[in-house]
Amino acid sequence: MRDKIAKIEKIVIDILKEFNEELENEALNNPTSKTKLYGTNGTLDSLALVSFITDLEESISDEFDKEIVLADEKAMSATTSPFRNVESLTNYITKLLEE
Amino acid sequence: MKSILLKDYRLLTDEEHKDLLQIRNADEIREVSLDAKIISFDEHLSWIKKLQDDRQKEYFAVIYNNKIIGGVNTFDIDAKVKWGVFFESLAPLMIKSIIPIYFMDFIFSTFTCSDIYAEIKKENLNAISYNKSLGFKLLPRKDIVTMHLTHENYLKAKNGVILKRVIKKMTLYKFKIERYDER
Repeated sequence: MRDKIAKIEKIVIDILKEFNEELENEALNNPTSKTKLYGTNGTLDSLALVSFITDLEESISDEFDKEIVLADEKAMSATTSPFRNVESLTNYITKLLEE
Repeated sequence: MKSILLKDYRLLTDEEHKDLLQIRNADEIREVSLDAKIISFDEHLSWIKKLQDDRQKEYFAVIYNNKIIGGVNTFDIDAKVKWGVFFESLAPLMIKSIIPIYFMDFIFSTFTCSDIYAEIKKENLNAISYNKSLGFKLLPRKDIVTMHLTHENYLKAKNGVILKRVIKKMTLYKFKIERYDER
């Protein structure tokens, strides 16, 4: 399970880096598990988050051969957003893949 | 396919006006609005009455899952077309992302304009960033930030890193707009 989480986190970070090659946001140059994504002091606005998640969904689905929907309305309007940082997003994806 | 309706304020029922006003008067909306005062229901209805004859302003409630979740507006004042948007805090992020794109297309085609402006409080960094993603450029700063979008830049932004991906998701939704002039 720990390997799976590490793999997921690597995908999140790799996609974030690729996305940032075009976005050119300095705060995302060297993302880690603690990098803030969306919300208070987040690095992405709502449009950028949706865009990033669209790429991420495809990569995760390809890697684990399972369709997942990250841009789920419940998650995206949750009070404690799973998109607040890389670690929370990784945990959220892990949970979705286990379902 | 999920449906999104943009309904002209002038076509709303009294109940719908109350729902809309509740969102507009919420603290998190007023904190970032240029006009931060609480609007009473009577004041709101008087303003709607004045809007009946104003052909240069269009205000729409955003309705999703049969619920008003926010509003978008555009107005043409002194030959400058401006736009604005607000959503309740728990409005689905996907809807918050695709509505501006749909509405920009609507403004450029309906007003046959080549430029749109946005005026934003300088503290509202999320809105400034959001408008930049749509292709808006910052004009020289004062207390209120003015942003400017040319149709050319908007079309470039639609092919850019952020909007290109979000536009893919728009195919999952069916849009409808109810305008007052088309009754």
